[in-house]
Amino acid sequence: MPQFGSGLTLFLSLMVEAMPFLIFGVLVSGILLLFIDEQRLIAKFPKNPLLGALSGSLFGFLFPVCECGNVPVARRLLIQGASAPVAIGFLLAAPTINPVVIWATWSAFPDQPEIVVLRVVFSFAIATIVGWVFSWQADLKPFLQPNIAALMPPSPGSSTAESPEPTGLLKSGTYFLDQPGNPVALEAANLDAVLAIASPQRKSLWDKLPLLLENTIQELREMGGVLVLGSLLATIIQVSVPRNIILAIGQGPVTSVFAMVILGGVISICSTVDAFFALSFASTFTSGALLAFLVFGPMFDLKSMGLLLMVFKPRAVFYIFAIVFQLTLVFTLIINLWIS
Amino acid sequence: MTLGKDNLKQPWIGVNRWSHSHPLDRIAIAMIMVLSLLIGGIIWSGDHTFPKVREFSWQDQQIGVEDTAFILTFNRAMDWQSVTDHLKIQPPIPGKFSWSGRRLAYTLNQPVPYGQSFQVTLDQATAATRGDAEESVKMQPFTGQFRSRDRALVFLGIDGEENGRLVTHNFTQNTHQILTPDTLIVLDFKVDLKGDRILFTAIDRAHADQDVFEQKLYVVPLTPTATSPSHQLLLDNQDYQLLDFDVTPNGEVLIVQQFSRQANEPVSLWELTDSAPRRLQHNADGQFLITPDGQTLVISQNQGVAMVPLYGDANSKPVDFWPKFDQILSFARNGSAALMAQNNPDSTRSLYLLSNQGQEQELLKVGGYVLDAEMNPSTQTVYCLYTTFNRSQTASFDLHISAIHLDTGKKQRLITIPKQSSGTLSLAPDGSALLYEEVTITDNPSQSVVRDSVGQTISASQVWLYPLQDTNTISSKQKKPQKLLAGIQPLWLP
Repeated sequence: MPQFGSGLTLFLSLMVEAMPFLIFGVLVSGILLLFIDEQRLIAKFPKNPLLGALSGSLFGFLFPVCECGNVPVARRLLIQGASAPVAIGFLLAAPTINPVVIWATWSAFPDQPEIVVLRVVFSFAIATIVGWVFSWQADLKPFLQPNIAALMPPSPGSSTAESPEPTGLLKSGTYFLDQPGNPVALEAANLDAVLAIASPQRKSLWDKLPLLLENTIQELREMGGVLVLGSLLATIIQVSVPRNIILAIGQGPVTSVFAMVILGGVISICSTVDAFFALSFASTFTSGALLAFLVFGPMFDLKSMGLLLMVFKPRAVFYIFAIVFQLTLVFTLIINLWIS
Repeated sequence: MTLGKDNLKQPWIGVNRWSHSHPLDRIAIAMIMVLSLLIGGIIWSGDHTFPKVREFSWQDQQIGVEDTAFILTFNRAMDWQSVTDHLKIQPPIPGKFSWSGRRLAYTLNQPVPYGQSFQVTLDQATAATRGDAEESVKMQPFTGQFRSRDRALVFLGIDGEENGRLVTHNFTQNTHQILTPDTLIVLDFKVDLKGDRILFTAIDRAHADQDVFEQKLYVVPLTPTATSPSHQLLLDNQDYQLLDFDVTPNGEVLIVQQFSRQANEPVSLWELTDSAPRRLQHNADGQFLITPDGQTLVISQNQGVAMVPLYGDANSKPVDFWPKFDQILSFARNGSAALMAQNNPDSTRSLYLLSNQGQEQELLKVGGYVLDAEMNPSTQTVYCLYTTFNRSQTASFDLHISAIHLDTGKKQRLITIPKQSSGTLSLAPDGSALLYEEVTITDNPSQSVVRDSVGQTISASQVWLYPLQDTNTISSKQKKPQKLLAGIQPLWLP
C-alpha cells in the first residue's frame, strides 16, 4: 500500500520536526511560570488602552506559552488586576508573538521569510485591535464568568451579585502537581493554593525543580497528544483526499483562505508546532491561506474556545471569535488578491 | 459552567436590547459589521495578482561544477507542462525538470560548461487553474541570467621573470598574471576555491640551493587587487620541517605534515585553523589526502592504505584499511569512489577503482609507474598518467595519458611523450579538457631554478591542452593537443 507508506513518512516527519520545539516550548513556559513574579510586571503596564493592548501583545515574549497555556495565564492576569486590553492582547498574541514560535516558524519556512514576518505582524495587529475594542468596556465583569469576576479586585459600579457556578465542562489547562499523583488545577477556585505553589517568593529553587518537572511532563502529555492527533489529521488529509481536489481548494485565492481558517480552528494544534503542520500544505496552498492558518489557529480554536468559556461569558467569546476571524480574513485576502 | 439555552442566545442580547447594552457590545457589533462589508468589498474587487517567478536561485551568480541544479520558485502553483514547455536556457544546457509544489528544480545532466554566460527566459506559461478562477492566467515574463566560472589555470612559470613563480592564465578574460614575488621559488601549490586563494610552499630565492625540507607554507589571493596584500606566510619551519600539505576544495580543512627539528618524534599531522594549530592523533610518514567531505584522511602507509577519522582520538582505529594498495591517487568528486595504485610482485603497477561499497576493479596494469589518475565529473571515464619502461633506450621511461571508459572497460591511449619520467595531469572541472606538460631536463648550467622530483633542473617546459568533450564519440584522431604556454604543473582552477 503505497499510500500507507507515504502517509507514515509524512506523519513521522511532522512528528520528528515538531517534537523538539514542543519540548522546548513547554520547558521554557514552565520555567517562566514558576520563576517570574508577574504581579510586579502587571503594575508596570501602561494605563492607556491602546498602549496597554500593545504591551499586552508583546508580553508573550516573557511568557512563551502556546494557546494551551495562555488562557490560564490571561485569567491570572485578570484576577491580579491587569486591565482588559492587556489581558486580551496577551491572550491573543502570546501564542504567536514569542521567541519559540517565531523560531519554529522560521525553521519551517526558511525560504519564505515573509510568512514569518507577516504572521507576527498580523497577529500583533489583530491582538492589539481586539484588545483596544475590549478597552471600551471599563468594567469587564459582566463579560466574565461569575467565579472569575468574584475574584477580581473590586471596581466602582461593578456588579458581583451573580453567584459562582461550578465549572465542570472542560478540565484542560495548566496544572501544578504539588505531590506526585495529586494535580492542582490552576483555577480561580483554588487560586490561593495554586499561587502558593507558583509564587516565586515562597518556595526555594530546590522545591521548584520537581514542580517544574511534573508540570513539564503534564503539559507535554496533554499537548503531545494534540500534536499526534493533529499530525495524523494532516497526514490523512494529504494522503486520502485526491490531489486535484486539494489543489482546487488550495489554489483558489478565496477558498484556500476559508479552508485553512476552518482547519486552523478545528484541529487545535499547538502554536509551537503548527508551522510544521502548515509546511505540509505549503506546496499546494496559497501564502494567504497558510498565513490564515498560522494567524487564526493560535488565537482561536476548538480547544482554546473551551478554555475561554471557563473565563469569559459566551457573548465575549463570540466577539473575540468574530473579530479575530474577520480580521484574519481581511489581512490574508488582501495578501492573496492584491499582493501575492 | 454549561452551555445552556440562555447562554447560546446571549451573543445577540446586545442587539435586542441596544439601549441596555454595554459599550463593548456596541463597539464589537459595529466592528463586525464594518469588517463584513470590508471582506465583501475585497472579494468583490477580484484578483489583482499575476503568477510570476519569485526567486531564481542562480540569478547573477557565478556557478561551477559543484552547482548541479537551479530552482525557480513561483508565487503560486503553476501548470507544470506549460512551464517546462516554455522555459528556455541560452545557450542550451541539457537537464531534467522536477517539481515540488511551487518550486521547479532543473538538474543539469552534465557540469555546466565553463567561461560562458547563460540566460533563462520564461513567458507564456500559465498558472495551475485556481479553484474559484474561471481560466488560468498567463504569468509575468521572466528573464534571469547567470554565468559559469572562468576557464582559467594556474601553473609554475618557467620562462624569464616567471621562472619559479606562480602564474594564472584566464582564457575567458584573456588575462595573464604573476601571483608570487620574485623572492620566492614555489615548489608545490593547491587551490582553496572558497577562500579565493592559493596555498603554496616555497623556499627563498636567495638560497636557491636549499633542499625542499626548508620550504614554508604561504597563501596568496587568486585575484589580487591593488589594496589586498600579496603573499602571506601561513606556517614557518622554525621548529618543524614542512613535508606536505592538503586542503579540501572548499578550503575548510587544511592539514600539514611536519617533522620536528628537535624532538625525536615521528612525522606528525596538524590541522591549521584560525587559532593555534591542532596536532592530529594519527601520525603519517607517507603521502595523504583529505576525503572530499573533509571528515577523513586517507594515508598511504608502508603496508597499505589506511582511512582514519580526522577528528578521532589516539585510540580510534582506522575506518578502513586496504593492505593490497600502496598509494591513494584521487577521489571521485561525489565521494563515490577512489583511485588507488598497487605495486605488483612482478614489478608492474596497477591502477584500481575502489568504490565506497568496497568493490575494487583493476583498470590498468603498466610496466612503469602510475603517477596520477582522475575521474571525470560524470564518473564514467578515468584518465591516468603513467610511465612505461622504454626498452630501446637505456634506463628511460615514456610518459602516457590513457582514458579508461568504466562502462565498457575500453582503454584508449591519448598521449605519449617519449623520454619523460615525471609529469602532472589536470582534468578541467567541467571535464572538457586535460592539461599536461612536456619538460626538457638539462645537466648543463641553467638560469632556471625549477627542479623535478629527483632534483634535476628543468630548463624548459611546455603546457599542452588536450580537448576531450566526448571521448566516446569522437575518435582520438580528430582531436589534436594544443600548445598553450611555457610552464610546469598546470592546474585548472575549480
